[in-house]
Amino acid sequence: MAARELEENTPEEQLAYVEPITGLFHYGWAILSLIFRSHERRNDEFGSLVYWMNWIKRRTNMWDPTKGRVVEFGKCNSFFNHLTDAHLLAAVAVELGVDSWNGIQEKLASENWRKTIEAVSKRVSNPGLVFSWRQETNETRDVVHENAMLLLQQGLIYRRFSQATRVGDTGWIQHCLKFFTIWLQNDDPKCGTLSNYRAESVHIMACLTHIWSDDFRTHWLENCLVNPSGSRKGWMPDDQYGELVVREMKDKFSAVNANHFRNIMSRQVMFNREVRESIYRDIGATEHYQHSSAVTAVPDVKSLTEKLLRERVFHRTPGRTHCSDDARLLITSSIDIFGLGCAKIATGFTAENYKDSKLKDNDGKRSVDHVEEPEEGSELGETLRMELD
Amino acid sequence: MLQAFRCENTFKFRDIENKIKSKAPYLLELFQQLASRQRNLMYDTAAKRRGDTDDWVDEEILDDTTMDVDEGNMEFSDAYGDTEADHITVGIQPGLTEEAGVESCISGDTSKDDNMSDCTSEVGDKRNILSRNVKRCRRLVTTAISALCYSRSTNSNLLQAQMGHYFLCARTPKRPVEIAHQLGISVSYSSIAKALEAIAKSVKEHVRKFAKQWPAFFISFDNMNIFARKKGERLQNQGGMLNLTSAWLGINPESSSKRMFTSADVDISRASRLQTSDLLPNETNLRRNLSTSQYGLYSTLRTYFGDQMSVFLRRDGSQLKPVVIAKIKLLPQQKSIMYTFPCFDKNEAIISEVTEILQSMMKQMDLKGVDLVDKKVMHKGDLLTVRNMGYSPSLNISSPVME
Repeated sequence: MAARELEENTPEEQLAYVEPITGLFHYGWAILSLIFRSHERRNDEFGSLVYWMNWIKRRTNMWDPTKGRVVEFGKCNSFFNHLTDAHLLAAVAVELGVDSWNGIQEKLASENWRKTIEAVSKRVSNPGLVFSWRQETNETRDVVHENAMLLLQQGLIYRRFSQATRVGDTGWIQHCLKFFTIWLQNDDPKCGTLSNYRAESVHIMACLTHIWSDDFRTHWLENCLVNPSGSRKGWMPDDQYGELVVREMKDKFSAVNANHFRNIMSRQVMFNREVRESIYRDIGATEHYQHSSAVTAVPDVKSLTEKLLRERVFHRTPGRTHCSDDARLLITSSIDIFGLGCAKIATGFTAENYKDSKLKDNDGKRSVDHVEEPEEGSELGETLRMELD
Repeated sequence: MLQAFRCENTFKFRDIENKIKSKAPYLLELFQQLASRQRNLMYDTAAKRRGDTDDWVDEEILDDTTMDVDEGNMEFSDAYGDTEADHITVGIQPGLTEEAGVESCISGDTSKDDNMSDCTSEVGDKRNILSRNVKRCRRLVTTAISALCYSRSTNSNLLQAQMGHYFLCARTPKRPVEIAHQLGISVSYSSIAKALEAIAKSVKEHVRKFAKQWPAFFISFDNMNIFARKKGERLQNQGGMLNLTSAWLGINPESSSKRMFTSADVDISRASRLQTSDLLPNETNLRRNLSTSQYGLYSTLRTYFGDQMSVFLRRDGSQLKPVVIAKIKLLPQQKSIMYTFPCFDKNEAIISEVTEILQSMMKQMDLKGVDLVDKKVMHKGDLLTVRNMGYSPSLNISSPVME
């Protein structure tokens, strides 16, 4: 009887069991894009991302400035981590009172580094620091220092997210998601709208705080990551595992024998991968075609740190708007995505807008009226508009 | 058949060797000595064990071994499946020299360059780690005995089936597989094809039962766009872009929830409770931010100046304690259980096709409408996937990739 009733239901009701949730890998990717956008600035300007890429001779095509998009996640992620490292070390060097890489080495061997860490972290952990500095007059502001501090703060939170993902601490992920939500709410036009993730981030926060029951929230926290290998640091977001599945499937795909692929091979692609790895591990054969090898980051980080120290970036100098590279070139401000995001949320618009879109008339059912306005000029936006017209 | 697959997932040459050793220790020792330079020992030992000095190769030994190894063979027609991920062992194989018997007289000689010289030498060596050469020698001996057994009976194919499956996983073409088959180190290509079908059948069966075993499962899917080049392009058979969808279901087995969620667990009306304060950082967030900074600084310093940091000592001569970060919700170490669905010939950028994908997945899982009434199942993916799942299925629009 129940089954017959269900068959008579509308398609919306038939699929009411679906609870769609965004994966954290693509979310993290969007956050990296957001950070890049906020620090992009002019390419020739000291402290801009392209400036640093050129400084350590990294190829700039990992980042597409016209679309504001991270093209190659691995490269951008690695570059950003090295840049964060350099900023951290420069901040520590200032605290230690040294101005070179070797100076840091000597001081760390002779001073209580725990006290140094404590002092620096107290300074950089206040996320509203730059926002308060920017309320001051231009004469007292130091744009170079502000920009570096913003990159350092964002880098620390982004790194916590990455580390928590790898070790499987979903409590920390939840903590970072709150900051990401705030960042995404910033309304600086230079940052782009990222409207899709802006709406989705608020939805995830609403789910975690109110919409989901305690059981469901716990279940999400226990299953937002997967561990294909079972190792201690083998966790990854489920959509990242999905990308692995896609890669393996593409590798095995055969258009000539498509049915065999779909029905036989596609069901076991990930097991095949495990078989290969298991045999290599057991027999100890040389695994060819593994082109990636760990490269030490020390020369790059050292080069970045020493440049930051030479420019005295972490010495706050009131009224500084230029750097020694080109005294005529005015340094522009990076976008304070945290400060602007908080300011936007504090108006109450974000929460109210979300509630309106969710509760308008759908009673919790699937509907389309919560779709955000797509980004202007985007392919999706144009297609949707055409279709709906 | 899934035995083959199962064995390969946890592939260990050691298992095959142990099987031979338990049934025919003399034969194993004999071959190990054959592989050694010290041939005189070979004759003596084998003869002493058997009590005579001539006819040291005993036909019976080989026959017995073949029959015994048959017990662990792969019967391709009789497939049964256990593809659960928990049987896949991860990590390093435990101590190779723990067992007594043949191992006790085998040791490594890393100083010698000759690969085949040291299989049975240095009897008194008690080192726990076998050299690379010894391990290699033992693998060769195991392979040789397995090939001999396989030559007597094709049912004795434990090693060959595993290697055959490996060849296929490594995308080895048919021709080399057939050569390997003739040399006795792989089953034939047709046998491998049968094995694959059996494995696929087994996976299908597991997917069908998954919801019963793990009611709190989740599903994830993603688009897979391939430019397929057709062989021998003709007017009607052009290459072109294929929009497929790959999907998988899974669970972390140590999740606390063991039930399927209901609509009461996801109440959208509770969205009205969202306050501005829920989105802004609170005291706890700021405290955690401080920990984030401390740990971030420490881990970076440790990476680049670890040696210098360990030089600094306190007045009492002890080293400074490392900075640690508190765990908030650390997931227990576990291996996720995941199965892939068959690849769907649907485009997830088209809403109506997303609906079909969702329905096909439930069909694969043997879940009918009545099973899903008032239920909630997590569906994950990238933002495009998630958005398309959120649209009304009756809305037949196309939404191209936006990321």
